[in-house]
Amino acid sequence: MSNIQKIDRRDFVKLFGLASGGIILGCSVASDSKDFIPIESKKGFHPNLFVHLEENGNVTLVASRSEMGQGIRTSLASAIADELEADWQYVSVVQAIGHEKYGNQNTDGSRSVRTRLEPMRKMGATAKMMLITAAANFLWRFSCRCRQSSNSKRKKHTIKKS
Amino acid sequence: MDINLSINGKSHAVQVQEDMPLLWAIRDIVGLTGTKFGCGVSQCGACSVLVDGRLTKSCSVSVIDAVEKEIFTIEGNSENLEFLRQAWTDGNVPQCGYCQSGQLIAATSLLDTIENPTDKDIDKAMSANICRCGTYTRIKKAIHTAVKLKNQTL
Repeated sequence: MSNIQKIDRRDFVKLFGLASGGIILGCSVASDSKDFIPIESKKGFHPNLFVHLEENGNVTLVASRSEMGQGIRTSLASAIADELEADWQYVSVVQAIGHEKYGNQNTDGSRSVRTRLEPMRKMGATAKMMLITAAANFLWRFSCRCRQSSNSKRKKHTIKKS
Repeated sequence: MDINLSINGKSHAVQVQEDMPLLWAIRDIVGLTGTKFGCGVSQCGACSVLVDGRLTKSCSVSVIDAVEKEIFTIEGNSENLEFLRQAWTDGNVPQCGYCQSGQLIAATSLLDTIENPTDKDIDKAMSANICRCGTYTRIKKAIHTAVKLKNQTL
C-alpha cells in the first residue's frame, strides 16, 4: 500500500515552493517565526479575520487597535462576543499584528469604538449566522434521517403485527 | 559616591546621589526596565519591588534606604513568581501590560506571606496596584490558578 500523508496548506505551499523554487523564502519566514502564531494557522474554525473557534469551545478574538490602558481589548472583543453570544469565560483576546488586512489601525482621537463598533458587531454576527446555518443544515439532514428510520421501524412493526 | 545595590542576588555599584529615588537607579542606572514608572507619588503600584521581602513603591524610597538590603524586581526569579508568571500566561491576563510587573510583584509578596489567599486577601493585598485596562478579575483568577499550580507541583 502506498503511504498517504495528510498535508496542511502551509506545508503544501512550502513543498510547492521548494519544487518550483519560487516562494520559498516568504513561506519559511512565516512558519518558522515562533514569536507570533497567527490565529489563522491554529486548528479550528475561522469564520473571519477576527473570530477563531476551537472544538473545545474556546473562542479567540482579535483586537486590531493598540491597547494603552483605554481598554480596547475589552471593548472591541466584547462587541464581537456580544453578537456572537460567546461565553466571556471561554474568550481570549489576542493582539493583531500591524497589517493592512485589519483596516485602519490608528489608535487615536477616541475613535476606535466610534468607528469600529459596527464592523466588529458584524464580525460576531456573521460568525454566529454561519454557525446557526451549519447547525440548521445538520439538524435538517438529521431529522430527515430520523424520519426515514422511524418510518422503516413503523413498517417493520406493522409487518410483525400482521 | 559609590552605592552598592543588591538586585536579584547580584551586586551593582552605582554612582548616584543618595536621595535619588530607587526606581531611577533600577531603571536608568542599572538598566532593569521591567519595573515601570507610573505616577511617581506612590499611588499606582507600577514601580513595586520587594526590598528585603517587603512590598515597596520604588519611586518613593531613596537609593540610600535600599543599601545593604536585597532588592527583588520583576526580572528576578522566585518560586512564587514562576507560578504566577505561568498563571498570568495561561489566563491571558495583561492587556496593555504596563502595570503588570507591579501586579506580579504585589502578587508575589502576597503569596510569600499567605499561602492560600482568599478573595478578600487578594483584594486587600492588590488594592494598591491600579490597572487602567481593568484586568482585575483575571488577576484575581490568575492568583488562584498560581496557588493551584503550586499545590499541584508540591
